[in-house]
Amino acid sequence: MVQGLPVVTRKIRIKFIKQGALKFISHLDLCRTMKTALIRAGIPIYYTEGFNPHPKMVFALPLSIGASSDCEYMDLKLVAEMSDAEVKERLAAALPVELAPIAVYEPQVKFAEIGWARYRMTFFGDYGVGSAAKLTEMLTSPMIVMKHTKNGERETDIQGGIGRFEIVELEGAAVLDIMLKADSANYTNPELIVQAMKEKPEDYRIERMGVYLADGITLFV
Amino acid sequence: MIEEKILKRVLKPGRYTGGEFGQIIKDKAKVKARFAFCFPDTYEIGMSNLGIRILYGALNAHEDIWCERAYAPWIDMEEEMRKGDIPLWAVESGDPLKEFDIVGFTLQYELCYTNVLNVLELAKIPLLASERTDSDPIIIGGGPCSYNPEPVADFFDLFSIGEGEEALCEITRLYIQMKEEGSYTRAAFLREAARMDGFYVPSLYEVRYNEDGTIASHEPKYEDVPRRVVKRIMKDMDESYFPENFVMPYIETVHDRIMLEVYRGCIRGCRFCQAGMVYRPIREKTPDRLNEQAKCLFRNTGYDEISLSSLSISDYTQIGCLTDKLLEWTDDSMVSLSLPSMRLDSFTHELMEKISGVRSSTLTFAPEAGTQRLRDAINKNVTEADLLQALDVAFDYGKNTVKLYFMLGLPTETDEDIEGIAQLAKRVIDYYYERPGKRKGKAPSVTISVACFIPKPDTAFQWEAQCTLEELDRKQQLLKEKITDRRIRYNYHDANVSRLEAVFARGDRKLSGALLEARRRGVRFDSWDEFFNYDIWMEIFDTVGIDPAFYANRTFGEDEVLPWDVIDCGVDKAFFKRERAQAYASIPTPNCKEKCSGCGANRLGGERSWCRDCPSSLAK
Ligand code: SF4
Repeated sequence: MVQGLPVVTRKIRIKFIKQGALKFISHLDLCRTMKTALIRAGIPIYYTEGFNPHPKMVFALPLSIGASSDCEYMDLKLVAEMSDAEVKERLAAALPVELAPIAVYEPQVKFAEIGWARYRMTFFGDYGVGSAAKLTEMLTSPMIVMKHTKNGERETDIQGGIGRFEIVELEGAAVLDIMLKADSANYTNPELIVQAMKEKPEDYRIERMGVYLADGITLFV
Repeated sequence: MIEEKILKRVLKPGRYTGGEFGQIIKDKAKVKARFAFCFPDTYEIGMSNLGIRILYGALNAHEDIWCERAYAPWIDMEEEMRKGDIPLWAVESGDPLKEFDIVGFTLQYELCYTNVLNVLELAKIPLLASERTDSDPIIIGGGPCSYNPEPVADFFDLFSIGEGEEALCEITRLYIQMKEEGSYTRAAFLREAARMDGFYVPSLYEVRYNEDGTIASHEPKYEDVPRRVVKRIMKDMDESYFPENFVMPYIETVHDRIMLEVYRGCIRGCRFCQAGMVYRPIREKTPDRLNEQAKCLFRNTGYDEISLSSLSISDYTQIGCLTDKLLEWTDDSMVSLSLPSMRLDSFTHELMEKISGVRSSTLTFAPEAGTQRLRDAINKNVTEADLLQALDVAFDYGKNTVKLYFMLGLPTETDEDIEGIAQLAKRVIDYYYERPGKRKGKAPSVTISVACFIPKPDTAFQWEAQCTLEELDRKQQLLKEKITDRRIRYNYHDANVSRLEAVFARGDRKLSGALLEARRRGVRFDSWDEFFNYDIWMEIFDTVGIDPAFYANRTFGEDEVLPWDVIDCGVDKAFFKRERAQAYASIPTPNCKEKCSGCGANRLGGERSWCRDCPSSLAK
């Protein structure tokens, strides 16, 4: 049994990727995978108190199933000293490469300060040359979609969640580089943009490229 | 790998992507044989099976063999595969199953048979063994249902009977050897395999029937093919292969934890239970070895729960020593222990103190029958006193939700026995109020879960008829009437499902026609409530001219040739006959710890086994 309360030595932040086959696991699955990986890695993580203790992990933002990311964040507490470099090395060995940790450090900014996330969305099919105008029109008009809210499924205009964007037309595909609100009250899931498209792309890809503070300029780290 | 746009359209894409931590990847150009292990149900169920984890590791321990996994796709993925003409693939490499040398199926329950056929079809492998050519994979079956392989005999090239840790490696080595020598043909390979211990090649036997549909003879076609195939066992469980590593699923599975197999076999001998017979003789692992294996798996998996899994865990002779050793480190590592298969009579304060895993407030027990008379007849040696003693412990710990499992339609059952179920449930509630002292927690709630008896091969009840549907329905309703207390919840199984299980459990080769017809009609996932369709099955039997009552509701003759007589599970038919007579006299048989009753399994050998000192002649 745990003798007394473990001393929380310090907080650490782990920045990791989510790619390849791992794009397809849900948030709950991610939590479970991280938990076993942290135990395998022998990292001295802090467990919650109580009847059913479990490792305390806090994730920055949800990521929809199927989307990849280079910038996922998870905060932990350590109950014994271990260097950032060692945490990273041990965790890398315990995780599949598609979920690799890319940085471990002491957090300076809180998750609550996150304001925006930047995505690259690629639409395939009829979204080739000439699609930019169509997409721009859609992204600058009211965009009514069904959104999960506290009160269940609701028709919502997500226009307010859309920030600056840029469209590049390619042969057979359009690439949309877009900022979407990411603070907890206004979190805008990029899947909703696909949902708002009248002509659905044959296939599409979503990549989270970066996370920003409320000013939309300063990168969150 | 399967296209992403398809993965986005299906439920739980994590079922199909592979790439799990701990999966084994080899260079396919460098291995000599590729083995695909298929669990013919969903990924979540398949990944929870300990047997597959063991065999996956055992095969992959050979450098030149690469064993991969495959599962039945869920219906949404099946639809995509049929639409896109995508053949079923193995999870690790993503290569089509039909390119493999050997495809093994584990047959855990009869209702997976239609899934086996569907998987073969989706893999574009000919369904019938007789239609496969030298370039098709060899299809092997194994697992509990292979103790009566006859209903699916036409679809398998061979069956591995008994424990597969060594057998599957040996058969793969034979394959490699014949390929290397250039002597491989499907026919030559199967003939050679039939001469090895523990392999049944159904195409090398001829079955003749009597006019009444029973079997006249089941004979090998050649002299060098054994008349009966004796099951294989691992003699020393300490030395037997056990994985140091698990493939870690990303999506939630049924048993997402460390499963530690403590011993094989069962000393109990319940007369309806097939597992209790076919895994005999009992063979234990030592506490030291188990502790080592548990530590190793904890380090390599990161799971924080260890489940001690065996048929009746409290029968392990060293249970105290084992839990002590485990508790030396599990608590500090935040690892919990669970003992899922506790017997009523072993539920003590001492054990409760040790097991944090019994966190849940539910207490689960299986008295199986409502009266002592019937419990004696089925040889379930627990008494009402055992139940009350267990309740004492449970109530002391504030566990006030009790779940009791029973069976309806057992041989010799009377209406009085059925009433007894209701009374026993009521007794639990009354006892809570009768006990002296302080009451903890909420008032108790009791759930009784009632299954239908299914006569199974290799049990004392293998000859018994299952009650007709009308009779089962009457019994279910009678029980419902007898339960008057609203604190008792009553669940019962769909008798139609149990009937179909009974048909296939005691089926013969004639049933392959029904399975082919079922495939033609698109039947699969019979074990899933949402897909099980009894009416379609009755139409199928009608179409192919099979009377399900012949298999389910007929009392088989003790002198009849049984479809599964060709398989020798180690326990003698003479023992089953004696046990059946004892059942009719309502006389229990002592368990193996108390006294050997000469079942015959001791002739298979085995270390740390209860039967080491049994007079081996008893059964003869
Ligand atoms: S031989 Fe005797 S001790 Fe061994 S399993 Fe059979 S009955 Fe039990």
